[in-house]
Amino acid sequence: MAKFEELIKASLLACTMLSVLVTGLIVLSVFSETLRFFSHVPLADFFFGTEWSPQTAMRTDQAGSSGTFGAVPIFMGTFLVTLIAMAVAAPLGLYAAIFLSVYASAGFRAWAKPVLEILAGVPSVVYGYFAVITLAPILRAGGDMIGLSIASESALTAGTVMGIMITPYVMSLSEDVISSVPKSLSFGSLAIGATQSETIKKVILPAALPGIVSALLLGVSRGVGETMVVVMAAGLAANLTLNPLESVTTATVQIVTLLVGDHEFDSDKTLAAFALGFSLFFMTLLLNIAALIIVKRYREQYD
Amino acid sequence: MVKNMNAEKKKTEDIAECGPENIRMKTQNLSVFYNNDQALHDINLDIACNKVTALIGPSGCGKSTFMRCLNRMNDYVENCRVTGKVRLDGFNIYKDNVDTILLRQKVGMVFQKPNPFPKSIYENVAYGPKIHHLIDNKDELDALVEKTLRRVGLWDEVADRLAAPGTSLSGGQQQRLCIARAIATKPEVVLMDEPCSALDPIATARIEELIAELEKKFTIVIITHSMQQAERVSHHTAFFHMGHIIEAGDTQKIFNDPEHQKTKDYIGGKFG
Amino acid sequence: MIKLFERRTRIAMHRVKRKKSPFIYKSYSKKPKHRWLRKRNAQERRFKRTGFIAILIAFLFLASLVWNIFSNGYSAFTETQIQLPVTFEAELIEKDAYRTIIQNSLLELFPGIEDRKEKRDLFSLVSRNAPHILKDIIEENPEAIDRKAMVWIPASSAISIFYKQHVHEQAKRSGKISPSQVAWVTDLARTKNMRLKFNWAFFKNGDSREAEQAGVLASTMGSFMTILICVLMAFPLGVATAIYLEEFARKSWFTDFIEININNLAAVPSIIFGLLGLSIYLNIFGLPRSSSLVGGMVLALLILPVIVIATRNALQAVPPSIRYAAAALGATPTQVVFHHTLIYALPGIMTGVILSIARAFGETAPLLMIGMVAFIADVPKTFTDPATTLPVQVYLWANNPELGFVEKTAAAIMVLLTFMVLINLLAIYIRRRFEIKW
Repeated sequence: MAKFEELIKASLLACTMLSVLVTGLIVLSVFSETLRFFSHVPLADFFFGTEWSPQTAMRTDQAGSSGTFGAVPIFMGTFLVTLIAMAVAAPLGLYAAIFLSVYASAGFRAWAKPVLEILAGVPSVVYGYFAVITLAPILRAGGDMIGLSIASESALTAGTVMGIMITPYVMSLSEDVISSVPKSLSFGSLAIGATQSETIKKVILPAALPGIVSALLLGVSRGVGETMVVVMAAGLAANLTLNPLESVTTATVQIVTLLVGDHEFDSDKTLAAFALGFSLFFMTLLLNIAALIIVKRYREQYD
Repeated sequence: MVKNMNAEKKKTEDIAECGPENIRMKTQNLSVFYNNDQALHDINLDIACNKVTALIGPSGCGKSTFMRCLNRMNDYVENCRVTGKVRLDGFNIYKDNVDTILLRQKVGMVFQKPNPFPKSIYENVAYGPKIHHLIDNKDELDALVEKTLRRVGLWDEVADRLAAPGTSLSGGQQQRLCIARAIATKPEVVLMDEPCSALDPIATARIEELIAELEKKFTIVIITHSMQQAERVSHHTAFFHMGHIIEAGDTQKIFNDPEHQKTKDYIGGKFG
Repeated sequence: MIKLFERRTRIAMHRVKRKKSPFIYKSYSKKPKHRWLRKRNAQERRFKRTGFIAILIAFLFLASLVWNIFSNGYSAFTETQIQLPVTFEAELIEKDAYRTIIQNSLLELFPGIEDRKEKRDLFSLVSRNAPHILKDIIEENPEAIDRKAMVWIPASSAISIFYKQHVHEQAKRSGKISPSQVAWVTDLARTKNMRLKFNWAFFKNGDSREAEQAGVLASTMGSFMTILICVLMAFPLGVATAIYLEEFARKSWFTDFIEININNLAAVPSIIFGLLGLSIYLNIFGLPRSSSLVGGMVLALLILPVIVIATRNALQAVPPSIRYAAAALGATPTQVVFHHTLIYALPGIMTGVILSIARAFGETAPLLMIGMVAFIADVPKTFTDPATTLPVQVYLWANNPELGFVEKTAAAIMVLLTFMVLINLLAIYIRRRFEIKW
């Protein structure tokens, strides 16, 4: 009997180890390919180079066959699209969370929240389709009207749609945070004659700030790692620009273009995708850990 | 002469005048419903000006609900409906066009659990005057904060650390800070919902002293579960039971010679 | 003296009565306090309105998303057919020249066309798949040979779109069809030789180069096979991990490490899991590319942390008193878990697992990495056959520049969303029906 107990425990432990192995595998596999990439391409070229044209690496007979792998335009593009996304998601998500948790009646909240959470459940490929078919033409037409030329694969299109995709995520995270601020605090403020908005701005938000920062960080981490929306709505050309009306590319877009339909895994071109993937993994890991630490401190404050 | 008049004016600003009847607040046929459950039944109670009125009664008897009616905090309770009138200085505060901001500046509230804002001690006291734009001058604000903290007897304890967070104080100090926060907006009435229930006996004694001090300038309504406390601090007492006022009147009278059997039983500790 | 006092009192009371209520704020008041009050009240209203507008924008977006997909996609569920007088000439059938049969019948319908370009336009009225349809008819009833019959043939994609828009009175001219084609279609429509039928082909076919023949069967089956593998792998592994962490592991730096690890894993971008699948499953283990097996294994890694977290939450919701009660009866720790805790937590676990399946069902990016973007016309037979999934199919069609695929994409999204809704409803049902409230 005791043996049987031990057996079950051991097999459970084995499963746990296997699950943990996944992280190890990610780091190992992606990291080893990244190391191989950096044995061909100098680290400084990748992180500080401003020219990205991996396609030349295909023609091995040509001079300069190694291609150029300056990832700055890609990181800039990722940054730009995420920034636009957060410019949409942060105010929308925060204000929606505030309205739902403070102003909305219980009846309104009961149906509005699940409806908004549908937005979070829609697969990202659907958002991508929406960006291409609907939003891009609308933005272009709008731009024409006021005399701006907006690229059909502009950072603005991809960022806006991505922002709306992240909004419910930011909303439900910040709503949790706001409702975890003790009610007594807001009553204390309301009872001496503050309006709801003054209470929110001067008491609730300062108290909930760490939680909200971590919600925004998680939103950024989502945006940085989001793939389908940008693959469909953002461009391929690595333009080094901060103009949201132009086309930019992102790390995820490059990973997809470099790897899809390619059966050769030893060229610098495919290895570059792993280097990008590793940077992406590292970035989101930092964001997540930062968010976790902040929110943990915050929880301790009120528990 | 001019100086004298100014001084006099200042004085009257500090102390809100009492009306000729010496009644600050008055409820008339006040009933409260949560959904369809009636929590208060036709309450008629006068609250004397610059006196302490204690509300006593077993849990769930409606005293907190009643207190929340006095500064319309019930507006924030969902599905809560109030009928009847609550008059403050003769004006019905449940009229549609009454601004709750102004009302709550005049009728402040202190809660059961100390709830200082996670801001500095200074900011906690200055919060009310700032949002109400009572004072727009930094020096005057400093003076007001000092005066208010002195009034609650906290100044000597915190004068050297006004920038420290309000949450860093002890429980009793926090509650006195909350009282300071409530009286900094120069209210006429201060509502206290079991202000001492979360405090130790020593801190409780200090709060009771403070209440005795404050009653000279403010009308105080206090909910308490401690009979001794009600007897010690209040001039008038109202005994609530199942949403009705069973008996109200002079504290000495209620405690020494109650008219109703229920009051006698409650005060005697037979139920509660 | 007393009279004087009374008089004064009366005057004072009168004054009190005449005084304006200090709690009523009137916007015309010139008092500075009221000026602030007006500002503060306006600020309050503005703030509340902004919050409401934020919610409204989100709602509007959801509505426009749904409306957009519906209005683009509903037409894909009907198929435009043209009735042709077909003569099944034995000679041509023997030569397998069904294309000529179709062309002859088209020429019979619209005689006197000589110009080569005109002829090409005429022949492209019907789907390029038409010869196969005739072949199927002959194979099913050989007695039709050398007879003449009226046969409904699917129209080509461009004609179909034109006809559907015409029917729905939004006659937008797509530049793809010529003036004579417009005339023919108008003629066919007038003589009732054109009709709309429910598009069974969309549910019976796999992918196709011809928009009018493309369907979602292959990709749907691919999705199901992928999800099956994914659940078979992630469910036992995830639940076992959660049970160990929640019920058996003693708290130590090691369990802390695992916990942080799993929380972080849940937030790793999905495309990274694709890279993992590519370099480990494909390059090291040499598993078959594009197969639902590899797809399922990649998605399993993706939802594993989600399942672990959901299971732990469900286990935590079972009150410790239940565990003590079972242990007090002499149950061993594993008996406590497998006879009690796990059973009571099962509804919660199932809800979490089903929701994570919904997530895996809609996932696209990691599958692109392992080559599931292939053109799949047939339903995969085994788990190692090349396969694709519904969301990937959406991606492929969205990238197809041909006009006919726009409605197909939207329709495929509708199918995808229908499955998502069904999965979520199942989760809600399980939660409502079985969850134990403690």
